[in-house]
Amino acid sequence: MLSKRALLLSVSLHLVLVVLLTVSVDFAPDEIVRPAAERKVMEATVIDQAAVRREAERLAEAEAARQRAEEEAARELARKRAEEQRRVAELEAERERLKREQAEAARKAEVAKREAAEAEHAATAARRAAEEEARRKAAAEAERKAAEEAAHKAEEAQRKAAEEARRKAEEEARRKAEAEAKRKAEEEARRKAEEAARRKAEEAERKRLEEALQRELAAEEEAARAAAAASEIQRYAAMITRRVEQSFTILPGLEGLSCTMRITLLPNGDVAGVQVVESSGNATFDRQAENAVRKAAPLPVPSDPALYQKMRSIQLVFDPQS
Amino acid sequence: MFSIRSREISAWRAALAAIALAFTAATAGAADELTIRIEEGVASALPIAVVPFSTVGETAPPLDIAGIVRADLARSGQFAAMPPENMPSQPATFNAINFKDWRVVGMENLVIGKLLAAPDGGYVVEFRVVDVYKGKQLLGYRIPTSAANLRLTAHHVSDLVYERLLGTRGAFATRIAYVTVEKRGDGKSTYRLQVADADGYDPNTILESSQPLMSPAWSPDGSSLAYVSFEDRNSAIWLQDLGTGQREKIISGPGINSAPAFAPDGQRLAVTLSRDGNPEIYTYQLGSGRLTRLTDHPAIDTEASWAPDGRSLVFTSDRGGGPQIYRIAADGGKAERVTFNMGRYNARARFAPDGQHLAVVHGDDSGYHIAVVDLASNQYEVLTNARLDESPSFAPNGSMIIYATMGSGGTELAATSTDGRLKQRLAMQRGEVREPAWGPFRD
Repeated sequence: MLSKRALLLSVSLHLVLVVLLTVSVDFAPDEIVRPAAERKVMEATVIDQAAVRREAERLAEAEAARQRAEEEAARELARKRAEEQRRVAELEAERERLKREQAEAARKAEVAKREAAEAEHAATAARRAAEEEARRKAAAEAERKAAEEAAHKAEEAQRKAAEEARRKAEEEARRKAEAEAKRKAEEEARRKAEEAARRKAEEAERKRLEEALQRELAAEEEAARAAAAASEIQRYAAMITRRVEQSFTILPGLEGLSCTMRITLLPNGDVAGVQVVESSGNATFDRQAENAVRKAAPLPVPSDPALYQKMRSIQLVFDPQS
Repeated sequence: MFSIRSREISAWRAALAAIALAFTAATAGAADELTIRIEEGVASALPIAVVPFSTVGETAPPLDIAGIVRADLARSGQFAAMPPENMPSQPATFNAINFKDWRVVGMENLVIGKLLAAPDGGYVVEFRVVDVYKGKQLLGYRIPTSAANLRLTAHHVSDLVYERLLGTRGAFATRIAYVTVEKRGDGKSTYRLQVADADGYDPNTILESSQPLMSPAWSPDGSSLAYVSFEDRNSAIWLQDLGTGQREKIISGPGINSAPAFAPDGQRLAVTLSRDGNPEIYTYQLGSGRLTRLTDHPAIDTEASWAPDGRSLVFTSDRGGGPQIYRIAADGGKAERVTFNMGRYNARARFAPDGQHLAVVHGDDSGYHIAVVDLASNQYEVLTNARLDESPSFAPNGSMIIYATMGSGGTELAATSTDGRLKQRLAMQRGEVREPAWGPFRD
């Protein structure tokens, strides 16, 4: 019985230990399992009907078995003794082990306690840290929010300031632009006025010069026209001279004579008439002069009617130089 | 800009003003009528086209009238006669003339005509001178003639054309007298005094002699010739009527009797006589036979020629060392030398009809040539360039000079225009031809 109890005790102890060891955190750190736990093992036997019969059967069997077991027990005793001895040794070892284990458990409990404490501490610390963190976070959040707010406010302020500045700048710019525009308009007006005045003056000067130039040009033109007409007439006169000279036969012995003829030209250059203005005194010479004109006809005559008018009637002086 | 322009214009104006001024100056003399001076010309003869005369009534013309006229006019040097083959057409009537064609070829003057056979066996020569550029007739004649006188009539036509176109009388219907020498086989010569048309055609011998004949001289009326004949073995001056053939020895005396020259009045002759010992110039009064000595000089004075006004004579004298021409009044006096600075030899002067020029034989290193001396300026011009030219004689109109020249077969006759531009040998018979004398106009 003892062994049974011991076994039970041992099992219970083991169980407690196991429980303690496994759920150490759930125990209060000062509840220690005591050796009184043996009774509690007895009391802890559960009795029910099935269990009682089974107990009886088991007891009968156990009586038979106890007989056998007594027999056996004698043998067993020996063995048990050996066993006991071994077991005592073992128990001793066990006790030793338990002692160690208790020490270990104690240590472990201590460790656990310490760990719990540590855990508590840690939890507390954690809680505190969490709280701190929360607080910090809250503070940070508050700070952030404040900062944000501040930033926002600052931003807003800045924005507003910028807006204001922009507005002001715009206003200034507008004002300036207006002023500039005004100035420019004034300047433009002034410039225009000046320009107009200058233009007017220039125009007057230009007109004056132009009129002077016109007068000059008119004079030039008149001179040029006269000169051009003169040079044109001279050109035709030269052509007529050449033509008449080419057809003017100077007969032997009549070299020293001279005569003047007036010839009348038609617009096509034909000779309408040849009239002796001043005779050479030699009819043959006069006739050769007349023949020279008639042979040369049609003579070159300007197509310009005004020029033709000046060449309609020409005096030809035949005065061959011997 | 404006100022530059103004400057340019100012420069222009100056230039134009200069031109205008020059022009004004050039025309100032003629008011506002343009005056052109013709100071050059083409020295040329007068262009003329003598179109072959059409012949009416005969199949073949007895004489090429137009050809004779053409040759006459051309020989004068005054006309450039167009060869018939160059003529654009050969019209015989005024209406047939296409003036445009003739103007195209630059022809100024046309002679057209007809030779008509007259019912009496004679002929009528009808011709017109037409001014091509005026397109009108300048002259028109109908000349009745005979077969014998056709050549003379042709020369008359030449004279009329010449006078109408040149204003001076033609000398084609004139005659020339000259002496020919024919050397016979017996070593002797036959001398003939001949009279021919001025172109050398129709020669007539008026005297033939075995002794030398020299120095024929025409009477101013052309009716008679004075000449020198040696038929009396000595020289004598004879006068022969060309119409009747009657001849008369008018001056003969000791020594030389030579070089007769009729005075323009036809009443006197200038002659060279040496009866007083030295050849001197005398005048001989026809009718009275009175001789007047004009020169008196130990040198030889000979070959007298009368000025056309009869108031002076020129003659050849070697009183200066060589033969030169001197002039003396018709009534005598001091002889003045005429030819200066004309070389060593100037002889046998003949007065031109204008009295202002002399034709002389001018000797120089290249030979003896015919020269014309301008008495007013004492300038002279050598007209001929053969080795030996002699005996110049003016045509009565002064346009030509006939002279004798040494040709390949002896001496022959040649004529030159007085400007020397045209020289032509005259148609002559064989033998030597000497001392031509151009007769007066035939009125």
